[in-house]
Parts: sequence; structure tokens; C-alpha cells
Amino acid sequence: MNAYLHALPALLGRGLLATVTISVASMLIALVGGFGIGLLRALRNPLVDAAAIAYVEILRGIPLLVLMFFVCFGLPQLGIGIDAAPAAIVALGLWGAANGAEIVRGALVSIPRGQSEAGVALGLGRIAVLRSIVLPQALRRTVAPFMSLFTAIVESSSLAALIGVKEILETVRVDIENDATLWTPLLLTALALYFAINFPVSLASQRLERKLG
Amino acid sequence: MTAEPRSAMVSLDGVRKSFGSHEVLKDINLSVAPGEVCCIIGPSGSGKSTILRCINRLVRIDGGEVTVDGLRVTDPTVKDVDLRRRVGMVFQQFNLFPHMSALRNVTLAPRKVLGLSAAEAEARALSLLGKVGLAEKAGSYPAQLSGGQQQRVAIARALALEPKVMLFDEATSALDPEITGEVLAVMRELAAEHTTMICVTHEMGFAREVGTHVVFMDGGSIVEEGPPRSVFENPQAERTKAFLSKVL
Ligand SMILES: Nc1ncnc2c1ncn2[C@@H]1O[C@H](COP(=O)(O)OP(=O)(O)O)[C@@H](O)[C@H]1O
Ligand SMILES: [Mg+2]
Repeated sequence: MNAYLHALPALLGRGLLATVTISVASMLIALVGGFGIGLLRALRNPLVDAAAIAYVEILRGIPLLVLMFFVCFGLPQLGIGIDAAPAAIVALGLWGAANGAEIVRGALVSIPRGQSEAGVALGLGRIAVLRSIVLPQALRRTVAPFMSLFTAIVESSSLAALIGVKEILETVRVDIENDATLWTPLLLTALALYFAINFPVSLASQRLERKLG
Repeated sequence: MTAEPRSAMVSLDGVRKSFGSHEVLKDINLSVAPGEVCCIIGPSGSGKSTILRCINRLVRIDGGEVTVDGLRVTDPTVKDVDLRRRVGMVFQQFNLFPHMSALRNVTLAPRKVLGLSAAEAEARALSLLGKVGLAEKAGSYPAQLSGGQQQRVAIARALALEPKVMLFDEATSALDPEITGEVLAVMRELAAEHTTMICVTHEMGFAREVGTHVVFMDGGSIVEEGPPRSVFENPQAERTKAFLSKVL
């Protein structure tokens, strides 16, 4: 019990902070990047499309852990120095943006063609049709999948332990290696922490969905 | 802009259109004078919708020429917006914007395309909603309206740019038979005001009574056309007779 209490400050302090920081920063990159790429694809420029498709397919096609290793250990060899925590954010963010782009694209194409056609027939330009007609309807359909993506980002942030970031899992691991009796209490605490991060995300998304509905 | 004097409001001259290897319009010639109500009838897949869609450039034609109020659709210097301001379109599925109230559906184009102020656009929209009998539904969203009401809002929306010609693509086909009447009544009223209209329709009663000109299409060609009385009561072509015997 004493050892558990002793391990707790690092877990609730640095560990939790690192997980939250990596997760939130990656979510923001995923959100902004996802909408950026998804909306660019709506312009139907062949060159932009090809670049976006390549980006999305490559990032979704490689294991996230490999991507994290590459950013953390590969980039420095190419002369781009980066610390472990920022590397985790970059990898998770790029991966999240690729998935976010597919979410946005999927939501945009799910809006019936007749909607944009009606806008075009009314004399609206392509951008106006997107902004006033298609996007507002598509927005609501991105909320639930983005919430799943955010949850996946929080969970995948634990991969950062493998590149040495002292986030929740890594903090727990170090303490457990010193005292095996801490296995159960610390892991349960870690699980509770992940839940405590994800639950508000889920609540916020439900509220947002209702608001946009 | 080419504004050569012409008697036709809309004319199609030798219009051809293919989708892939499928020739959907074969040398279509049609002229619609101001104030005329041209009704296009014919079996499904004969190219009726495609004709309408060539008129406002929703579909690009492969050959021939379409002229709307003196503007040639194949002329690259004619802007989409200038063409579409002159052409109002009403769709079978209404295609109202579900996230906007009836009022905003109607004010959208006047604001974005004509640059009217919010107050000007609203005044215009309210008057148009009144015209289609839905002034009190201005604040309702499409999901709160019946099919007939939605289509009447869609007509008001299409009228909001004060178009020179109105296109109706089976405006009543998605409606239950008992409520087609309220939409047809609005269309009759527009015709009575000498609105130039091109109506693809399965409502033979409407075509016969309101149409000033009836066009029968089949297989991408105009098989027969003329005043309603001659097409309906004295059809010449075998295909017209066969079609009419099925639908009348
Ligand atoms: N965008 C398109 N791409 C491919 N084929 C099309 C397209 N639009 C229409 N067609 C085809 O063209 C033919 C005529 O269609 P349409 O003009 O909609 O006929 P109608 O309105 O008389 O039923 C049909 O065979 C249809 O399948
Ligand atoms: Mg059709």
C-alpha cells in the first residue's frame, strides 16, 4: 500500500500529463489536418487528389508503432532532431489526420448529390455550395467517427511508452519492474485514468451531435 | 455578351449528348417562346431530364447549341451564374436544404448570388412563400413539411432569382396522388402569369390543359410535337399512340 501511494504522484502527475498532452495535441492535428485534407479533396483537383490519396493510404497502411519509431529514430538520422514526446505527437497526429481526412471525405460524399445540384442550379459557385449546403450537413456526420478516432488516439498514445515517453503506461511499467505487487493496483489505476480521459470526449461528442442535429 | 434579338426564350439546335457510348440525346431541336408552357412527355430513360439539364449546364452538351434568353451555353465567356440566374429548376425529389428553414431555403440564392441584403432577400422570400400559399410556414424546416409543401417551397426557391424560364423535372412524381393537386395549382398559376415553363411531366391532364406545346420523346429523339390537342387527340407516330394508350 505504501509503495502504491509512493508510485501514485508520478503516475497522476507526469504520466497523466504526458498522456493528456500527447493525446490532445494529436487530436488537434487530426482535426485540423483531417478537415484540411478532406476539404481539399472536395475541390476535385486531380493533382491535389493524388497527393491526398497517397498521404492517406500510406499513413493508414503502416502500423502506427512503425511510424512512431520512424519519426523518433529515423528522422534524427536524416538530420531532423526530435525528442520522444514531440515525435509521438507528430506520428499520432499524422496518423490521425489521415484517418480524419477519410472521415471528412466520407461525410461529404454521403450528402445526396441532389443537394449540391440544387445549389449549383441556383447559381451558387462550388465553394458556396460546399460552405452553405454540403459542409453544414456533413459536419454532424463527422462527430461520431471523430470521437472514435479521438478515443483510438488516447489509447494509441500508450505506444509512446515504447519510444521512452514517460506517459501513463511507461510510468506504471517502471514502478512495476521495481515491485511486482504493484501490478494490479497500478494497472487498474492506469485503466481508470484512460477511462477518465476518454469519457469526457464521449460526452462532449454526444452534446455536439445533439447541437448540430 | 451576345444579346442578338431572338423570339425564342429557350432554343435547342441539333443538341447531342452521350454518356460514354450511350447516346442519350440525338439531334434535339426545340424552341420555346416567351410565355409558352412546353410539356415534355415520354417513357422513362428517353432523355427528358437530360434535356432540362442541358439548358442550365448541369450537363454539358457534346454538339449543337442551346440558347437561353440570348445566351449560348456553349459560349465559354457566358458565366455559369449568368445562365443559372435566368433558369429556375424544380426537381422531382425537391432537394430542399434540410438544415435551413423554408425562409432560408428561399433567401439563400438572392443573398449569395444577387447580393441582396438580408432584409431585401427576406421580403422577397416571404412574398414568394405567400404566392405558393406557405407564408405561415416560413420558419418551418423541410422535415416539418409535407411533400407537397416542400415542393411548393422548392418552387418559391427557384423563383427567387426571378428567372426567365422555369424548368420542372417531374415535379409531382414523388408525391402521393392526392397531394399533387396543390403543386399543380401553383404551376397553373405560374402559367397563367405567362411564366415561360418547360415541364417534364407524367401528368397528362396538366400537359393537355396547361401546356401550349407538347413534346413526345422516345429513345433520345423528339418523336412528335405540337399543340396539346393535336398530340393527344390526333397523334401521328405509332410510338406516340402506343405511349398515350398506356398512360391515358
Ligand atoms: N449522368 C449520367 N451518366 C450516365 N448515364 C446517364 C446520366 N444521366 C442520364 N443517363 C442515362 O441517360 C438516359 C436518359 O436519362 P434521363 O434524361 O434521365 O431520362 P428520363 O428523364 O427521360 O427518364 C438514361 O438511359 C440514363 O440512364
Ligand atoms: Mg427524368
